[in-house]
Amino acid sequence: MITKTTSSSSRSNSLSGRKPARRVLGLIIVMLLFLSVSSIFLGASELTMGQIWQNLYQGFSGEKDFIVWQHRLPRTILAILVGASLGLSGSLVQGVIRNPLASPDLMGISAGAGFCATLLLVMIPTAPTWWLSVAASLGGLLAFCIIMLLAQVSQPTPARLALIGVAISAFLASGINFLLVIYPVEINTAMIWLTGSLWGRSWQHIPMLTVIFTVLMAVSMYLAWRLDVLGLGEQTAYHLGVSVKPLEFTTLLTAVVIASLAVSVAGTVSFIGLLAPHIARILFGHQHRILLPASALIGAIILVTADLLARSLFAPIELPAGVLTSVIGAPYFIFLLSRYRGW
Amino acid sequence: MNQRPRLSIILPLFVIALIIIGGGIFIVNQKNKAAASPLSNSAGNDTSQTAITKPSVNNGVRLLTDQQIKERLPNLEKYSNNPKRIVVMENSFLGDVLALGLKPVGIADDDKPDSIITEFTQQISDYTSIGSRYQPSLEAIADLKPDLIIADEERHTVIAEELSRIAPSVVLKSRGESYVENIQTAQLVGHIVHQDQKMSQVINVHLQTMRGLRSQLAKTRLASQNVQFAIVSDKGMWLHGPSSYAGSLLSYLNIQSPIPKQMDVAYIATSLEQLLAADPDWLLIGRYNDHTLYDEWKSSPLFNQLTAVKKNQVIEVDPTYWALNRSMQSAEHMATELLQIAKRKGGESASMSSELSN
Repeated sequence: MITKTTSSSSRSNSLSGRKPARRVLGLIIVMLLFLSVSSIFLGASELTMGQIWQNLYQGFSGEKDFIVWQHRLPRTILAILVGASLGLSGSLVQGVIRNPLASPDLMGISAGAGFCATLLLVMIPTAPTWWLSVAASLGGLLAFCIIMLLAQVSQPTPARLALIGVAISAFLASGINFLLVIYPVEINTAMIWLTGSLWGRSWQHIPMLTVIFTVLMAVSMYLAWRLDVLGLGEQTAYHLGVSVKPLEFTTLLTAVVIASLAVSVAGTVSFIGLLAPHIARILFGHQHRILLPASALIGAIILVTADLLARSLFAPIELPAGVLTSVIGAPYFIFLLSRYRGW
Repeated sequence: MNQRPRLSIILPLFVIALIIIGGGIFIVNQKNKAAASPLSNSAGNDTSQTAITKPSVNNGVRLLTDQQIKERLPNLEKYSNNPKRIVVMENSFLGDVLALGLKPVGIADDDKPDSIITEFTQQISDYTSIGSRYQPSLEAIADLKPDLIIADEERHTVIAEELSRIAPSVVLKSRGESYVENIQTAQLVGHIVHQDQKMSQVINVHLQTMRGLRSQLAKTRLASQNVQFAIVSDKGMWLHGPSSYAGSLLSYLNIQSPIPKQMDVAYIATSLEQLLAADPDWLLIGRYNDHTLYDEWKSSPLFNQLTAVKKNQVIEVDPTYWALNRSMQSAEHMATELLQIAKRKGGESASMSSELSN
């Protein structure tokens, strides 16, 4: 504590506000690293530290190379990418709609993406993997457009907008169920779409998600200060020289694409897009420059933890990670609803 | 301003209309299918007749020819000659492997050792559970260092690539397979472990046993009545239709089914009304939970209209044999159980009817 006060007092006042934020951000990065490492070290298989280090060192030629290199490592990386994508998408959507309940799953993006992906799987089972991403993005976009159209028409309060989102999501989820009953595709694919899981996902999904996430993260950072200005209100933003409509359009498109891609890989992992930006706001305030990377990091932390628990809690029985995120997310959603009265 | 309320009415109406039209088309389609099915149902017996004339048919079971086996599994050289550490990802493969005297090291038993029938547990002393059949733990599989993995087509095709990185693996039909498909799968398993000869011997012995049981059943009252097997749990009832394992075994034993043969879905989710529409003479139920939806139906007035209930011909059977462990061993058990039911319950219901007439 003493060192902290002395070090901050030696700096100028303007920086002292930012300093703790940086520290917390550092702490979060350390936490993510720690969790990722433990995710590589823990699991159904009882490997000693030494064996794992040896495997990591030996690379693909190691004796137990499957567990470390082909299973835990890709799964951890995917959890980070999917969690970060959902977190980022959530904070972007909230930044534009300025509604604390806005998130990819409550705005129908996840369900829409899941529905179109299932539709593609059912209609053209032999379609290449990248088609799935395109279909998911289109579905997410479509569902989101429907909700935004309904919002334009009825100008709802934040809670009612969330209700519209929940209704459309439920409709699309029943659509997924319907498709699966009528055209029995592989039963596990269905589970993954409906509850969200990283089971059976591997390296092949990583390159695409990494590239697109990096690009869209950069785009989001470019938009960050504009979103801060937008936070002052559309009128003010316009007069400060921000072209509001194009900004809103680009931001929402980015949010929809990144969330849909995450869904096309891991299914509808619920509530990360809602939780991550909220925690980030509590820790870092409302500056998007910090908020966006922070919610991505927190999203990653949540999913890495959920997946780690999902596969090691009752090993060798695996739970879908989506079930665990719902266990934390659903009570938080109810808390949010009860906290703000008069919506 | 006028347009807002209008749009907000039109959109939901549009969605509802969409659902109704979609649902209507679907129902009409289903009706057409159902209308077509009685025809094929009456022709159902022909298939077994035409089958008998085929050379590859043994005892009414159409076996795969050597040529077909080779076509299905072309790369035999990648599988070990004498696998020692086999992982089976469905109980149905367990029977095939054990019949050849091989003992698997890993089984996807949903962490419920009780779900494996005693015929199998007697032969395996020690094995490791690799988790649920839905999402088996890839780590647990890799940990066992297997030299052969046998996975289910319906559940595990998603992870086929991962499995083949762990060990030589093969994806065969298990969930939703019929009695004949189960035996064909046994042929394929025999081929994979390079023991075609031994497996065909096992199959021959089995088919002889089954022929004996079938001719005995033909003399019982079950031969002239229809029998339906269903699974009941706290979530509902699933009829195992004519294309399912239990259903196709019954038809192999020349026992009729109360539902049309055209159903290509193996497991049919059923309400009390649908059960009444099928109205089997005999209802065999396999319980997954202590309290099931079926128990709740008992208080409904519809329940007592079921023929099987009226005649006291609802019988509880062990679902581990009838559903979970599809295998030649289970088939023999099921046929023997049917014989016992025909004899025992036949006498009982005769006494019942005499009581009623009094």
